[in-house]
Amino acid sequence: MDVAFTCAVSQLLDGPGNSLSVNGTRTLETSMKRRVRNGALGLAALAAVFYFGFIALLVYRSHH
Amino acid sequence: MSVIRGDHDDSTSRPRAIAWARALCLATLGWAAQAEANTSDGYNLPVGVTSLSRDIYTLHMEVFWICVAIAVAVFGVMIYALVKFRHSQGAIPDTTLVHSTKVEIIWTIIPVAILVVMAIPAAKVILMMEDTRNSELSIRVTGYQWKWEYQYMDAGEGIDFFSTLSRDSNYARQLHSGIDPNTVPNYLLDVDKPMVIPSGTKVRLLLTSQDVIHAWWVPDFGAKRSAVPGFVNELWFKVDPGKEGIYRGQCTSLCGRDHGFMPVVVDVRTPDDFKKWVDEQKAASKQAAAQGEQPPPTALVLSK
Amino acid sequence: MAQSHASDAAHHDDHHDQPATGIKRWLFATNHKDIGTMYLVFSLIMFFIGGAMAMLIRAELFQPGLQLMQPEFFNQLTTNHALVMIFGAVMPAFVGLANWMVPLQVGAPDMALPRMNNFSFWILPFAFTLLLGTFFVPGGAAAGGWTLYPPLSLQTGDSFPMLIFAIHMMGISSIMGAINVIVTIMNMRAPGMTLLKMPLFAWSWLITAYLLIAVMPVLAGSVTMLLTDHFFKTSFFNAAGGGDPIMFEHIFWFFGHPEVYIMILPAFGIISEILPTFSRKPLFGATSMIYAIASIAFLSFIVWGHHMFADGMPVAAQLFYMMSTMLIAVPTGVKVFNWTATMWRGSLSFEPPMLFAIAFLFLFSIGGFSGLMLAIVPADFQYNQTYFVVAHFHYVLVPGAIFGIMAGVYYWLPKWTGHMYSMALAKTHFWLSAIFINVLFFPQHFLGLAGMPRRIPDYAVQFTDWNMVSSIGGFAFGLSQVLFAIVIVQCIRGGKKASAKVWEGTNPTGLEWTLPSPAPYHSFSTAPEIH
Repeated sequence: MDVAFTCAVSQLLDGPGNSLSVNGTRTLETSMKRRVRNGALGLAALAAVFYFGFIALLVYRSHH
Repeated sequence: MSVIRGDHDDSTSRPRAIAWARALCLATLGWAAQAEANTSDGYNLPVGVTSLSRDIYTLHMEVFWICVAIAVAVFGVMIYALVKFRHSQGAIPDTTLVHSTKVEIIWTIIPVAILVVMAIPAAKVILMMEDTRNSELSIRVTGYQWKWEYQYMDAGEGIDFFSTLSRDSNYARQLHSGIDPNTVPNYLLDVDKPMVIPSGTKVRLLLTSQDVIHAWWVPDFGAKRSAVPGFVNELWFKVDPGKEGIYRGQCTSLCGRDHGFMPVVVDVRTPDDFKKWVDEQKAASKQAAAQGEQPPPTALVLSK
Repeated sequence: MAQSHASDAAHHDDHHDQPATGIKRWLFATNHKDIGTMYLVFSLIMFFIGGAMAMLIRAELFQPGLQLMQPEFFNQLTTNHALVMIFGAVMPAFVGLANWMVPLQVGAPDMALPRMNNFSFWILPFAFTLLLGTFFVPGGAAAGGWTLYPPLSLQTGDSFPMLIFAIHMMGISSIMGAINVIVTIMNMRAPGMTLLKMPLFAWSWLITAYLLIAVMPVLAGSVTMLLTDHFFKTSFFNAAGGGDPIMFEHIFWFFGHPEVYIMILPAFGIISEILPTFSRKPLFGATSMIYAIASIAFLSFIVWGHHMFADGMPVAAQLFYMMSTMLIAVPTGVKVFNWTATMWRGSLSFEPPMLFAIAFLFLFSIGGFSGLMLAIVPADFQYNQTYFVVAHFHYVLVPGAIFGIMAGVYYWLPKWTGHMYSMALAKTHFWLSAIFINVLFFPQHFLGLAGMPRRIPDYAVQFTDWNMVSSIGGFAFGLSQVLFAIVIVQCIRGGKKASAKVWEGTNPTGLEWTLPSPAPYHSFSTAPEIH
C-alpha cells in the first residue's frame, strides 16, 4: 500500500488505531476522518434529497 | 444573401459576389444597423411589418449598440494593456495594484444602471406583446409532425385546412435528389396552401399541437410561440396596411425527422381581398359537403 | 499567496512510493494524479468523437439540399454531439484538472476519498460505451435534442433506456467527483491554508461542486420520470394523462442553467491563475473574484426560465427571468474588469497558456454580450431557437470552457510530465484555433438573425453563403485540434526538462510550483508550511 493512499484511506476507516503513520509521514486525526466521512455522507444525502424531492414534487403536483 | 420572405424581393437575383462583398463590408464596419427593407438583409433581424416587430427591432438595435459601446471600451482597455505593458518592451509590473474598493464599487454600479436602462423599454414591449385583447380575427393553429393546420374563427368560421411543404421543395430536398435547390422557387419556404389573413387587422393565433412541441414563427411579424400538446398559447400581430404580400417562416422547435421541412407561409391580403377569399373558401367547402365529402377533422384541444 | 519550504516528497526513497505497473496501475488507480490523467485522456478522446460528429454536421450544412445523410441521422448527430461534448469532454476535463491540481494547490496528499475517485472515473467509459452504442440499435441513437424534451424524446426507439441509463451513470460519476472535491477542500487543506488563501482554481471548483450536487440529481430525476412515462404508463409529462410537457422543461432547465455555469466556473478559476502569472503581478481583487463566482452560482438557480420565454409564460415570470438573467452580467462584468485590471500595469508575456487566456477574455465576452441580448424578452422571441442562440452558446462554451481547459493544460502540462512542450507548435495551435473559431461561429450570428432555425439538416438558399463560411471554419478548427493532441503526446514522450517553477521569470504562485517537475507520484505526504 502506498503512502498517500494510506494517508487518505485511513480517514475512511473509523475507530482508533487506524490513523496510520508510515515512514514518518503525517498522522491524520481521527476527528478529520469523521469529518470527511460525515461530509461525504451529508453531501450524498443532499443529492438524494434533490433527486427524490423533485420526483415527489411532481407526483404531488399530478395529484392536486 | 437575403431573406425569409417573398414577393417584393429582388435581392435573390443579385449576383452573389456583390452581396458577399456588401455583407462582409457591413459586417466589418459594424453597420449591421443599416437595414432599410422590412425584411432581413441576410445578417440582421428584419424590421418587419408589424408594430411589434418594429419595437423588437428597435430594442434589438439599442441593446446591440450598448453592447458595442461596452465592447469598444473594455476591449480598448485590454488591447491598450496588451500593447503597452509588454514584458518584451521592458514593462515593470506594479505589484501593488491588487485591490481598489472604489473602482470595484464603480464597476459594479455602472453595469446595474445600464441594465436598468435596457430593462425598462423591454418591459413595456413585453406588456404590449401579451395583450391579446380586442382581436378581430382568431385562428387556431395546430402543429402536427410535420405540417400545420389552420382553423379560422370569427369571420372565417368553418375554414379549416392543412398547410404542408410544397411539392417542388419536397422533391428537391430528398437525399441525392439531384435537383439543385437554387432552381426551386422559395426552397423549403413554400407550402401548398398558406394561411391567409387581412392587413390592418389584429389577428390572434391560438397555438397547440397534436403530437410533439412545435413552434410557429414568422420573423417579419415578430411572432414566435411554441405549440404545445394539451395546452394553448396565444400570440397576436397586426400587419400594417399597405404591406400585403407573402411572408415566410419555419417551425423552430425540433419536432423530429422533418422538423426542417414544415414552413410557415402567410398570405397577407387587403381586408376586401380577404373577405373575397373567405367567401370562396366557404363556397368551396359547401360544395364539398354537398358532394358528401367528410369535413376535415377537428383537432382536440384541451384547455389550460 | 501560499509559499512552502517543505517539498519533501521528492526525497522519498521508499519503494512503496512507486506506481504499480501495467494495466493494474490504471484499473485500480487510487492516486489522484493517475485518475486525473485518465480523466483528461478520456475527455480528449471524447472531444475528438464529439468533434467528428460536428464535422459531419457542418459537412451536411455546407450547402443546401441533403447530400450526405437522412434528416433523422442528422438529428442523432446534433443530439449526441451535445451530450458527448458536455458530459464526455468538458465536464470530465474539469474533473481531471481538479484531480490533478486541487490536492497540489491545497497541499493535500491525495483526494479525501481515493477509492470513490477510482469508481467515479471508471463509470464513465461504460456510460459512454452505452451512449455511443445507441447508434447501432434499431431506431438509431436519440434524435430529440440533448434537452430531451418530451413528447419528442419519448418517440426514441430502442436506444431510449440506454440513453437514460447512460445519463444516470454520468450523473452518479459527477456527483461522486463533486463530493470528493468538497470533502478534500474542506478537510485536507495544509495547516495555514485558510479558505481565503486558497487559489482561485480550487475556489471555483469548490463552488462548482456544490452546483453539481444540487443539479445533477435533478437531471437524473427528470430522466427517471421520462423513463416511467415511456415504460410504466405514468403521465408526468403527458398532457393526455393530465401531465405537462412544459413542466419537464422547467425541471430540465433548473438543472440546465447551473450546468452552464458548471462548465464555465472552473475555467474562470484557471484564467484567474494564468493571467497573474504571465502579467507578473497578483490577481486584482481576489476576494471580489470569489464573491463574484459565488453570486453567479446563486443567480444560476433563478434564471432557468429564460430558456423558455417562447413556450408561453405569465408576464410576471417573463419580467422576473429577464431581470435575474440580466443581473448575471454584473458579477460576470466584475470578473472581466478584474482580469483586465490584473493585466493593467503588469509585465505581459505571451506563452501559450496566456494566449488562450487572452482569447478567452475577448471571445467569452462576445458570448456574454449575445447572452445579454438574449435576456431581453421581446428580442428573445426573435432569437429563440435560431442560429443566433447556437452562436451564443458556442461562443461561451468553446472559447470559454474549452479554451479555458486548453489554457489550463498548457499551463500545467510541464508540471505533470516534467517536460516543456513545443512552444512553436502550441502557438500554431492557438492561432489556428483562435482564428477559425471565429470563422466557424461568428457568421452563425448573421444566420440566426436572418431567420435560420437551429437543428435543421437543410436550409433555404439565402443562408448558403454564411453556412459555407461556417463549415470551412469548422473543418479548419477541427483539423487544428490534431495539433493539440500532437503537442501533448510529444510532451509526454520527452522534451526540454521543466524546472519546478516551469514558467521561469514569471510569477506563478501556489503550492504546485514548490514541487519539482514532474510532480512526484506522492506529494505533500507531509503537510507543507504556509506563510
